[in-house]
Formats: sequence, structure tokens, C-alpha cells
Amino acid sequence: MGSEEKKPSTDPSSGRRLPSSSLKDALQELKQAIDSEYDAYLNACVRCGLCADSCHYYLTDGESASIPAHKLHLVASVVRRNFSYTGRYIPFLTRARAFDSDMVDRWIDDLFGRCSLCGRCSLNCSIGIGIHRVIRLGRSTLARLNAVPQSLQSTVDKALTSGNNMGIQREDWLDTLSWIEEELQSEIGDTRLRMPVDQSGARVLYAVNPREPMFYPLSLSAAGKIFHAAGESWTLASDFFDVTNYGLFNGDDKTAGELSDRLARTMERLGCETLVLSECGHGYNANRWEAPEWLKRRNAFEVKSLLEVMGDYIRSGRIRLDPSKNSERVTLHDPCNLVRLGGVVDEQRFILRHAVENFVEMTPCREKNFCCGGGGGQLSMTPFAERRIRAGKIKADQISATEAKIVATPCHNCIDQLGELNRHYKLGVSIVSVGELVAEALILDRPSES
Amino acid sequence: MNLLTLLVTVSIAYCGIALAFLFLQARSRGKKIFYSAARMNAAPGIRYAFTQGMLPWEKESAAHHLPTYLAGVIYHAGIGISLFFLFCTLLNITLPALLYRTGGWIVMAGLISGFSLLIKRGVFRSLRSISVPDDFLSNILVNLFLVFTFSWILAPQTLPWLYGAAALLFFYIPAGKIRHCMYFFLSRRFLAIDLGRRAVFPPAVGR
Repeated sequence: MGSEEKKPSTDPSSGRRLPSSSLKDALQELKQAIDSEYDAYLNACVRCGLCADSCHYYLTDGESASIPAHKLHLVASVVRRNFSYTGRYIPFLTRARAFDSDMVDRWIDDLFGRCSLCGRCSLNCSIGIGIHRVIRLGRSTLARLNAVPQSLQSTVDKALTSGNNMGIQREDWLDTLSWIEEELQSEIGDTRLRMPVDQSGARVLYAVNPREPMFYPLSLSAAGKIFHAAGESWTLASDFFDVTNYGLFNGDDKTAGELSDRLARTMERLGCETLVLSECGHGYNANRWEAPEWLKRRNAFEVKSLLEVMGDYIRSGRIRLDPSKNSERVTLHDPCNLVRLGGVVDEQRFILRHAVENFVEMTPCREKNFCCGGGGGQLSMTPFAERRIRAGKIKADQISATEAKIVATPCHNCIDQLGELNRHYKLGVSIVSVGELVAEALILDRPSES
Repeated sequence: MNLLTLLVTVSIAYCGIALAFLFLQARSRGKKIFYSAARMNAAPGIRYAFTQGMLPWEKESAAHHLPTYLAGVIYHAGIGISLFFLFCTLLNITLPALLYRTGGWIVMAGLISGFSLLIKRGVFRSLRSISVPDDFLSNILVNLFLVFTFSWILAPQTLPWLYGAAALLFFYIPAGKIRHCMYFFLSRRFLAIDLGRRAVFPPAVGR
């Protein structure tokens, strides 16, 4: 492939010389990870190139290294070279490649630096290859070689050592909840409102993105207000409250399983029925869909997105909304992990139609939506930040075309990325979570004197 | 049975056995067991993936590259007809003349499509950059097969050439990308199961 001749730009973790024994071990583990699904994906590509225009990286940089088929080929060529007769004896035919330090560098640059694992290419593949899954498989191999970009790996390490990916201390977490509770009580004039912590037997355990207490407390207080209005029996955990799981992005299944297992154990400790995940795209995909696969066991509890819960509240009349409180034009950004890879497609639309007066869709939207560029761990991989902002141009153009004043998105990684795009491309919009709009539109009954 | 007929028969048998081996090899790698609770039965998703999900109004990549998409469809139709004619000759089955005439046009259209795709691969920088020698060789072998099918329809005495091209093609299939004739079904089914369980396939609009 021509693009392979191009020297990768890259990450500080590249440029290392890896011992051949490590490479061999990683290859063996890669071989073991190839089940029938991966085997089919790795052998099915016809390099028709139709996937190219589905990738926001390729659309904005035009580099062949950004074409999904190229990224797929990087992994397939190594598999072929090492584990197939054709690749071993006539490598020229399919450009089968050895797995050496140079190839590792290329994998780091292209599999980490040019992909947000959004899955849009998979949907558009003429064959039907789970390209994003193969790219994650490549990332898994890099994780075994300790070749994950340092900035991404440190996010995972922080979650492992401190219990959440921002390293928030328990005291700070509890303090934040306490002042949010006070603020909310004062705002709605009801001292019965609580931000409950470690309430055994509560129906719902609510897991949040650590960025909420740190940078977006409005999002957290919105959830508190909604749960209160719905009369929900809910709780937060004092220790493992983190919905995020960057193990989904660094490809390390073992770590990813360990992080998700913490939420499972907290569910068990508190005896809750439903794990409700805050508005977090990858957190939903990781904990709802992937965690049982990583842990190789079925969940003993139900896992829902806050969107699904809010939708149920509206349908059952547990909360009432006044859309006139959100009169400005609102558009919706669909987070890839929640929508295209998570299957939560209609709930956010149902909610917004009840919570805002003027809702417009982006084009394309739903499962065909473009990634904002913040997924796949891109937000934490600073060496690739320039590419991330450039790749977000597609999303910025989509937003501009709607002429909306507010962009709602049920994902905090997306909120961060959209915030950066907003500044960089001067979009002049507000970026909010769906819950914030719902909280704004809530019709709350004042408590009676009695 | 003359030597060429034997050669084609052997090549078809080899191709079938090799593809069966690859299929069994894929299956032997272990079936994925799902532990997550499915939101939906995967069956409608699988049906969608193999039918409506391949249509241009459902798939942006096809809609944006309609000429390529159509060329691909016609190319495959031409290949299908050529294979049908080949098997008929091997089994000494004579078809109505109308069928040969109609089939001939489809084979010709397939041939034009095949050459167009080959030229596109060579001309467009982005496509060339992701191509490997196998992509060109596979296309050329299939095109040769179509050329000789068409020439055999016009001039039956060129049958040995058709057999020669067919034998080459069948011997090559398991080694190159044409084996997607088998992997396509596996791959698409796996993706559909995954997305079907998650209620992404079929899309909610129109479900």
C-alpha cells in the first residue's frame, strides 16, 4: 500500500525499539484473540475504498493513511504474514508485513491517531466488516506491548489507582455533592431534595462521568433535580462512581473488565436493581454492551442510560415538562458509542421533543451521524489533538447548517470536543447535555406547607 | 473428458475444498458467546443486512458512489451468469438461444464494469494507495474469464480458452481476495448479529 511508505508523524510512545520476544508474545496473543468473527473481518476486505468518505479523518485530511481500509489492512497484513500460507510464502501478493518496531509505530499512529472507533466505516463497508472492531483488536495488541500512547494510558492508570479517571478524592466528591444538594434545595425551595450517597436498597445506582463534578456540575445537578421530581429511589456511590472506561479505547480488555466490574460490585454492595449511566457515550457502550463480554458473565442487574430513564419518566407522567422554557433552536449531536454502537437512538429525540420548543436534526443524523472527533480516547491523546480538531470540521459544518443556538448531546466527551470545536470554528453555540434541558423545562410542584 | 475439461473440474474441486477449509478454519476459531443482554432479537438485523441494508438509499457509501456501486452490481451479475454458463458446458447442458443472447449482454456489461473498476483502481490516487497486487490480479483474472465467456457465446470454438481462464481463476480464488465470495457472508452476518442485538440494525426509522 502506498500509504505505508509514508513516515508516521507521531506520539512520544513511538520510536521505541521493541525486543523481538515481546513482539512474538504479542503476536501469539493476537492470534489467540482471533475468533471466527475477527477471522472473517480480517479476510473479507476487497479494498473497494468506499469506506473512505465515511471517515471524518479522511474527509478532512485526504491522507490515504486515514482510509478505514488502510487501517484494517495494517492489522490484516500482519495477521496474514504470520498466520497464513499465502502471507508466509507469497507476501508480495497481499503486501503482508512483518510485525516489527516500525510496524508498531505505524499502528500507533494510524490505529490510535487516526481513528475514534466510531464505527461509521463499518456501517458503510460494502462487505459488512466490523472495521472499528479490528482497529480495537490492533489497539489491544499494542496494549500488550505497553505501546499505548502515554497520555491515554495515564487516564486508564489514574482510573485504576484512584477509582475514577480524574483522580477525584472521596472528600472532594462528597463535598461537591453536598453543595450541589444545597444549591438545588435553595433553587427549588424544597429541602427534601437529596443527593443521596451509599443508600443501600435504593432502586437506582447512578454512575457519573468524573468531568461532571469537576467541570460540569450543572449536568450532575440536573440529574438530581430530575430524580427528585420523579420521586425516584436512587443513590450515588461514595467510592466507585465513574461511568467512564478508557479500557474501551486503549484496547486492554482485562483492565476494561476490571473498571466495569467495580460498578458491578458497587451494585451488589448497595443492593440496587438498575445501574443508570449518566450521559456518557462510551460509558454506555462499555458498561451496557462490552463489560459482560470482558467479564464473561451476565449482569445480575439492569443497565440503562439516563436517557432511557428520563424517557420512561416522561411517558409515565412521573415528570412534566414545559418546552417553552427552552425556546431557542436546539439541535442534537448523536454520540457514536451511544447511538451507532449502543442502539439508543430515539429516546433522546423523544425527550427533546418534550423539553424544547424548536428541535432540528442534523444531516446526517441517528446511526449515520458523523463522529465529533472526541471519541476513541482522542480527547486524552494530546499528540493527536491537531488531527482531532481538524477531523471535527465535519461536525462543525453540520452544526452551522442547522442554525441552532444550542447543541444538546448526551455525552461528556462529545461536550468537551464540541466545546473545542465551538471555540476553534467560532460556531457561537451553547453545548449542553440533554438532562440540562430537561431540568430547565421541569415543572416542579412547590412543597405544600404541611 | 478432455484434458482441459479435467483441468477445470479439478480447479473447481480444489477451489471448493480450499474455501470449505477456510470456512471451517474460521469456525474452528470459536464462536462468539454473548453475555450482554440483547435489546432485540438479531434475526431482523441479519435480514436487513443482507437485503435492504445493501441498497444505496440505506448506505451512504453506495449512494455517494453510485456509478461504482452499480458497476459492482453489474460486474457480479456478469460473473454469476458466466459461472452458470461454465457449469452448463461442463455438464453438457444446452440452454435456449435467447438465454445465451441475454446472458451475453449481461456478461458484456459485467466486463465493461470490471474494466472500469480496474481502471478506477489504477487512476484514483486514494484507491491506488490502498491497493495491493492481489487487487489487480484478481480483477484481471475475472475479467479474462468474462472475456472468454463472451467470446465463447459468439464463437463456441473458443471454449478451450474459456476453460483455461476458468481453471486459472478457480486455482487462484482461495489465495486472493476473490475468496470474499465466502467471507462476505460470514463477515456481514457477524456485524449484523452485533448491531442487530443492539437494535442498531435495522434502523428504527422504518422498523
